[in-house]
Amino acid sequence: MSVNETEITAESVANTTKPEKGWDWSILTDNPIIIKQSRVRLKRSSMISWFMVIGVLASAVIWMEFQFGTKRYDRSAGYILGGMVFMMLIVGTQQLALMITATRATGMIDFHRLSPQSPVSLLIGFLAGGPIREYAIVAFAIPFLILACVLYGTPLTGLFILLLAAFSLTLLMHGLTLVSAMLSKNPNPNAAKGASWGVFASMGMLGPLFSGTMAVDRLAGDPPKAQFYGIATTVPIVFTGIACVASGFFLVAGVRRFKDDIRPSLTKRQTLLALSMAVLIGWGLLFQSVFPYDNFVKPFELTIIGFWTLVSFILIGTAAPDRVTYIGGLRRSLRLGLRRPGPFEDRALNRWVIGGFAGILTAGISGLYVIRNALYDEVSALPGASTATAILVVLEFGLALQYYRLRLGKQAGGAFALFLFVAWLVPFILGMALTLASGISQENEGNGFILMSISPLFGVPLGTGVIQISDIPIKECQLAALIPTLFAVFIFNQMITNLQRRIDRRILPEHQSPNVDPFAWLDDATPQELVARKMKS
Amino acid sequence: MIEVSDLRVDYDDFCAVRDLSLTIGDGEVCGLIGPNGAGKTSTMRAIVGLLEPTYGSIRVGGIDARERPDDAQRTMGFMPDFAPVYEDLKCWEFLDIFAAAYKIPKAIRKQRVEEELARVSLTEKRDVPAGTLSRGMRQRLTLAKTLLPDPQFLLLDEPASGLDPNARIELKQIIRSLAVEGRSVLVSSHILSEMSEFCTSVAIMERGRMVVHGTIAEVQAKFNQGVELHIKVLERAEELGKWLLHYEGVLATERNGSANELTVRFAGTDEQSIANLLADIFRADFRMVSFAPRQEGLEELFLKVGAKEVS
Repeated sequence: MSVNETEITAESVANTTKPEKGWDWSILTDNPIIIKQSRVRLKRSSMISWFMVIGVLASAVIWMEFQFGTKRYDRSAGYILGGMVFMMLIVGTQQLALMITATRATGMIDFHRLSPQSPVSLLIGFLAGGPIREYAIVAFAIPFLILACVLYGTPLTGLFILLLAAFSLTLLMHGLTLVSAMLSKNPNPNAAKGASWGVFASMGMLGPLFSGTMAVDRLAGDPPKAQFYGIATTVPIVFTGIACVASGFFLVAGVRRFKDDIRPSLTKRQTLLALSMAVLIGWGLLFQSVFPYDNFVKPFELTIIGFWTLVSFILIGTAAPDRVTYIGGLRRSLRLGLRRPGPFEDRALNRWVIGGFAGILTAGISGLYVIRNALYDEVSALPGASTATAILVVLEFGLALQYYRLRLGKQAGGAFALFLFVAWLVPFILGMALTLASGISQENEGNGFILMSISPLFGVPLGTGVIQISDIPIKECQLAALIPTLFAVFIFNQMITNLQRRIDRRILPEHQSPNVDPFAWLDDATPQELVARKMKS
Repeated sequence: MIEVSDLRVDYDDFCAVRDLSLTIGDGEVCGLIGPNGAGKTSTMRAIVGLLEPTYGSIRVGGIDARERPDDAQRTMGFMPDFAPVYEDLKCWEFLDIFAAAYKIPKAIRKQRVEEELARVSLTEKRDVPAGTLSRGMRQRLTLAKTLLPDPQFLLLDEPASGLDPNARIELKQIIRSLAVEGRSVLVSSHILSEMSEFCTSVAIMERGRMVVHGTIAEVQAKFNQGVELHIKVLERAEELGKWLLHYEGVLATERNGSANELTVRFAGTDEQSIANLLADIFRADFRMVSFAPRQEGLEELFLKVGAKEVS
């Protein structure tokens, strides 16, 4: 067979299993992972038992209201909805984490990756298939929920929106679990079990929102009002929108991780987009603000800046390659005749991206003040030093993380944590101790706050004057937060430059020297000659 | 055809595959040989796209596997050294879900599953949970899964590990039949004696580098100093030994104890030279019992190439 014929054959084989253009419905109707999970977790015998238990329990909570004459069927609906949310969030998330970690631990994920299944098909398969029994149970419980709402007179539109919020919260949590399970370096199902419970322990505050202690009518019949970009709406709708946007990024990250284990969860451009979305959401939420106007930033606004900073920290983690990744990228670039990987390549250092983050944050904070001033019809100056510090903190975090990853590779985590402890926590602890001591002796109380402000996490709020304590020397606190942060940014940037040059010097000669075959000396020699040569040498 | 050139794979500060080039033609079964840590598995995983190489080019049937990994993967079947299965599924269910993954039409899915179960002799176990299978059977089930999409190119990483003798014979037959059908097969294994029975070419790796690559005959010609002949005569063995020493091309002779047997190292490796020598021995009136040129197996070849010496 000639080479050309072979090429045609391989191409045709590749094309036979290629999905047609447009949406491939088999992702949903013939998804192998969903088929697998259905066969394992939707066995008739176990499902009949589950449905009987759910049916009896749901009927009982509705019947009780009738029997005792209270007729608060909205409470019954609350119990049913609470149970549904528990199944989807707690049990479903745990099942999803277990399934992903088990598939990764056994290496089965590679089989799926090598099949013509697209990463999107894998994502849908795991999202829908992992907690498939829990979804079936929830679907079975929905008619009971509707019945309770109809009996009480709760509008079904409100119930629909509430269910939408519950499902979007589920999607958000499942997306988060999926990405963390795919990122986990130790794909151990037991670890996943613990981790998913940990996630939900921290989400405890969301439990009461949907729990049976709250009557559904309060959320569905007369839901709390909200303002988003001045549009009058309800909290469940705003929550659904935000959860969907955040889930979108988690799902994009999931698709990338299903493609392979090597690439970061998001591209550098996607991280910039994610931060931009966070800024847009933050601006929208500002319209909800009902706090009285202050001289400086109000707590709500500061919380939004804090939220943006937190999002930046999370995104920076995905944009900072480690030593090996960077060197790999450098080698590849040199091979292609380039000096370094392009600024937005996965293997490039994160300096350009964190520069972009700083730009977006600057725009975000400026916009925040513009909106605030427009909303309250007043003009106030930016607390410049604190704003600059808030932006520099992101640069400091990003550059420090990049430096440690470039310097120490996989051991970077410990060193970086130590740096954060020393730079951000120790000044706060010392400052707090000094403030308490000064309070007792009633001398130099301001020094403690200044020392505390060296940690930018506390220096920014103190410098904005949001904390209403008369002894806080605001100007000094602003400077105490700004100067060390600025210094750290400068130092880390310089250290990265030096380290990068050192790595370049090490790698460049490999690519400049001709590619000598180390085994060329074997070509003409007989084994005896080789041994003789070896003995001689 | 699988064409790999200048492939490099790095893990941390360790270079697993260094500037490796390899070509496997249609109908060729290439044995990838090397000690543990030589880079065999990394090479295979990079070819199938499970590992991102630092650089290098990989073309599979003319498709650039790095630019169009999805298209390339559709033409390849990869079986890893440790074969995972979904333990809670029956054997046929396991194959059935992968038939869905490989987008085999529903109408012929069942038939394909049964065919592959029969090919690996697991028909009797079709309704048994995969988790209860022995290691060898799991290996066979995974092989069936690998063959399910009818791949043009097969990469088998230690496929014989855990297989019983019967299953190994079946595996050899399967690999031979795949080669006859014109497929390219890359097999890595430590059982070199068995590989020599079905491999048409070998690639010997050491510390991430390709030491030698070519057909077995080419590699033998490269590293062998002639061919080894085992000659048994009815009488006059000592005289034959002296006669042979004066024969052109004979490098050394050795008499095996007091028996009328000689081991001769002969420079001519081609069949014509060996046939001429045999005819001349007859003409010299030596009464021959047996005359056997001995081909060196992969194990000896591997030792001769001296991977350890090289490293």
